[in-house]
Amino acid sequence: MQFLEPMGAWALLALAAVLAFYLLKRQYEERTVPSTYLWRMALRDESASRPLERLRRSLLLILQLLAAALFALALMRPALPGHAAGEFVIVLDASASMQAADETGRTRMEEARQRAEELVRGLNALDRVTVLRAGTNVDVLASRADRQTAIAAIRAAQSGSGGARMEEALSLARAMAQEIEGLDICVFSDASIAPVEGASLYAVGAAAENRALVSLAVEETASGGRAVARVANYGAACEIQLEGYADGALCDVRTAQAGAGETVSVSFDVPPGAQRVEARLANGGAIALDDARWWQRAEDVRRTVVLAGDGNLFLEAALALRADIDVVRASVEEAQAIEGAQLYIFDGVLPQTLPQSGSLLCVNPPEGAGILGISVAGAQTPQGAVHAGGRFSENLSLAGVALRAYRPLSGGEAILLCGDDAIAAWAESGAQRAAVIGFDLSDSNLPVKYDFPVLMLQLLDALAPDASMGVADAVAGEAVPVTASARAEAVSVITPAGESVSLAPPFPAAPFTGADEVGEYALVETLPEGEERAWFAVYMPAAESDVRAVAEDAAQAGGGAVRAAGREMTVWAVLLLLAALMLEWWVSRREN
Amino acid sequence: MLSDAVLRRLDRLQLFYPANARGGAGGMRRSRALGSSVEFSDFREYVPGDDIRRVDWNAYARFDRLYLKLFMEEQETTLFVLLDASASMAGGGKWEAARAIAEALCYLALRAGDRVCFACLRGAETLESPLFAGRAAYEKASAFLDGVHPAGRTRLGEGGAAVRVRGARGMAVVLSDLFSEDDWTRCPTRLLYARRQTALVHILAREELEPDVSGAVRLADSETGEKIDLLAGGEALRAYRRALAEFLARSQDWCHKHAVRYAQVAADEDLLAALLGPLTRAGMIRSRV
Repeated sequence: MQFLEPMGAWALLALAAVLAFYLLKRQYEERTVPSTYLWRMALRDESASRPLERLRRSLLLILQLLAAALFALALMRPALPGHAAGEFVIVLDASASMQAADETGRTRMEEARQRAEELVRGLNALDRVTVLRAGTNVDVLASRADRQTAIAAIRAAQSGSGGARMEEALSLARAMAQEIEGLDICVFSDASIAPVEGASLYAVGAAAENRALVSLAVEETASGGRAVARVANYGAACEIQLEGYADGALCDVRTAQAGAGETVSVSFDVPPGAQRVEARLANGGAIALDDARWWQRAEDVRRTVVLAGDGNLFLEAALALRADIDVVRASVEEAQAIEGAQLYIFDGVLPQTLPQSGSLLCVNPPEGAGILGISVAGAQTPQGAVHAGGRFSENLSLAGVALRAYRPLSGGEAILLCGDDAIAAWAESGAQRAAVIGFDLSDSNLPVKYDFPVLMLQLLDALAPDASMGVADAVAGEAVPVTASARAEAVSVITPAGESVSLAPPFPAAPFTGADEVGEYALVETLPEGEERAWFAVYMPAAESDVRAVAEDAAQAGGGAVRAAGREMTVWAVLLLLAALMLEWWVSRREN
Repeated sequence: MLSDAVLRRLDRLQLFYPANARGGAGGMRRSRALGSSVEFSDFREYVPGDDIRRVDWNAYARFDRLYLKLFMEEQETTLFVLLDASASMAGGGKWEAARAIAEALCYLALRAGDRVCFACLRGAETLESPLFAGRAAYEKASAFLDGVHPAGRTRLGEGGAAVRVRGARGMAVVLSDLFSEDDWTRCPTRLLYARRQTALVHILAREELEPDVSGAVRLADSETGEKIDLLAGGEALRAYRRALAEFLARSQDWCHKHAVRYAQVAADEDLLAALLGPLTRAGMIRSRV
C-alpha cells in the first residue's frame, strides 16, 4: 500500500491524546458502602487503580483508538499500488492562430484549455501530468504533477503572437516517453501534427475566415505621401475595409473587393510630414493580431566624417555615395582636436595620437604605425595578384586590380591580399573599429574599378552605420539582429509594453530575443552626444493568419491503451471509521 | 419494638420446628418424643415468666411451692437468635431488618411458650441477653435489642464458633449478611453441633443486591475502611452480579447440604412480606391453624 498524503500521519497523535485522557487521574466519587466484600469478589485481585488493567478491559478505549487510527489513515489517503500510475504529457499549441475566436467569442486556446482540463479531471488521483506550452519557446508549465497542479498550469497557459515549436515540444515528450513506460501524449492544437507514437491530437477550433495586412509601404511625394497596404483575404470573397492613420489621427478610409483567397493592394493618402502611419483593417476576421501595420519616418541623422590628408577624388566620391555623411576636411592636427565625429579618415597621414572614439579609416599609413592592433610594415612591391581576404571583400571580383607598391599589414582581419600579404585589414577594439588600407590609392587602379565603391560603401556601413538602416521588421518569436553604432555606449530595446531590454554592453550587441508581442519596438542607442532611436515592428507569422482549415482528432499512433492506475482506498478508510464510531457509540450506550 | 398491628398479624403465625425440638421446661411446643396424646408427664418448678395457668395448685397446696405440670406432648424449647452486629450490618437498613425479624421470631417463640435468648456478635465482643420467657418478656427482649448498635468487624466464624448456646434445645436462627472475612460456616456448624434446628436468614441491602453505581467511584468499606477505585461500567456491574449470584448460591448450597434452613431477605423488604415469603418458604414460619 502507498499513501498519497503521508503528512496525514501526524493525525496519529490523536491516539496519544486518547490514551492520555484514559490514563490521567480521574475524579472519583467517594461513596461509603456497608461492605466492599462483593465488589472485591467481583474484581478479585484486579485493582482499578492500575492503568494497564483499565486499558485491557476497556472495549470503549480500544474502539476509540481504532477510530483515531482510521482517521489518520483516511487523512493519509491510502492507495493500493496494483497497477502503475498513468503518466501523461499535455501539449498546448500556443501559436497565434490559437487566438482565432468562434462565433461565441471563445478562442481556440480557451477551447484547448477547457478540453485539456476535462481530460486531466478524468484521470486517476495517482496519475501524473506534464504540461508543455508550445509557443515561440517550449515552456514546461508542470512536470509530472498531480491533477490539481496540472489543472492550474493549464489554466495559466496563454497563446502567443508567433508560431508554435511543436516539433520541439513533441521531441521533448518523446524523450520523456523513452524514460517513462506507458506515457501518453495529448496534443491540443488547431494544426495537424506528424504521427508520433503514443501521441493523440485533440483538434480544437472550427474553420474561420480571416483577413490580414501583409505589408505597408509609404512613399513620400511632393504633396505628401502615399501608403500602399497589401491585404490577404483568407476566406470567401468580401469587401476589405481599410483605415489609414497618420500620427494617430484617421486620415483615410478605403474599401476594396477581394476574392476568396486573394491578396489585394489598398492605397490611401498620407498628409505631408506625417511621422507615423498606421493601416488597420476594420473587418479583420477571426484574428486581430494581423489587422494592423505600421510605418515610421526614420530620423534624419547626419554622420560627420573627418577627412585628413592630401585628399583623393575617388575617396571623396565614395564618401558622397552616402547622403547622410557630412565631410569635414581638416589637417591631421585639426583632426586630432575634432571630437564627436563618427569616422576619422587619415589618408597618407597619421596623427601622433589616434582618436579614442569614433571609427578609423587609415589609408596608406606610415611604416611602423599601429592602428587597433594592425601593424604596418615596410613597403613592398607586389609579388602576386590582389585578391579578396574575406572580410567585406567576399563579393568583390578584384579582377585586374594592380598595385605599384604596398605596405604589408599584420594583425586584424584581412580585407584584401596581395599574394600572401594583407594589404587591407579590419580590426575592432571594444566599441572602436578600424579599417587600414596599406597602399596609396593613387598607386593602384582599384579606385577606378567597380569594386572600389562597393568596398567603400561596405566599409562605411561598418565604420559609420547609416542611421536610416535601423532594424528590420521581425516576426514574433524570432531573434532580431541588431547592428549598433561603433560609438554606441549602450544599446537597448523598448517593447510595446514599455519594457526596456538591454542588449549592450557587453559588445557586440546581442540579438534581441524578446520580440514575442506584436507591435512597435524602439531600438535605443546611447551615444556620447545623446540617444538615437530607430523603430521596428514585430508582426505575426503570415502562416498563422490562415485559419480556414483545422486539424481533426487523431488517435495515438502506435500507442497502447492507457493503463489503469492504482486504486485509492480513502473511501474505505472513511467507511471503516464510521463503522468504528457507530460501534463505539453502541458500546458506550451498553456500558451506561 | 414492633407495632401492635404487626403483632396482631404475627398472632396468625407460628414458628415451625420440624423435629426433636425437645426442650427442658414446659412449653407450647408439641413433640413426638412421647407420642401424640396429651398425658401428664412431669412437674417442674415454676420460674417467673411461666404461664400461671399451668401451675398445679394441688401441688402448691401440698408442697407449698409452685410447680408446673408438664405433659407428654408439651416440651419447652429455646429460640436462640444469633445476630451479626458488625459494622457492615449498619448500612442499608440491614440491622433494622435483622432486628425486626429477630423481634418477630422472639414474639412468636414467647407466645408459644418457648424461651428466647439473643447473642449479638459485635466485633470482638459478644453481647448476650438473658433467657426470656412468657409473652410479657417481649418488651424486655425488644429493649435488649434497642441497646445493641452495630460496630466492629465481622467475625462470624470465630465469634459464632465460640458463642455460648444457651437454653434448651430448639431452634437457632442466624441473622447476618455473611460478609465475614473468616469462615462463616463455623457459626451454623457450632449451632448444629449444639443440636439446634438451625436456620440462616441472609440479609442484604438493596444497594448490595442491585448496586446503583456508575462512572468512576471510590467505594469505602464502612467496616474495614478499605477503599477501592472502580470504573463502574457495564462490565464491572456484570462482574458484580456474577459474584453476588455465586455468593448467594454458595451460601444456599452449604445450608442445603447441612440441613440449615436458608432464607434470603432484602433489607428494605416489608417484615410481614419477609416472614410470609422467604422465611415461610424456608420452613421457619407457618400459619396457625
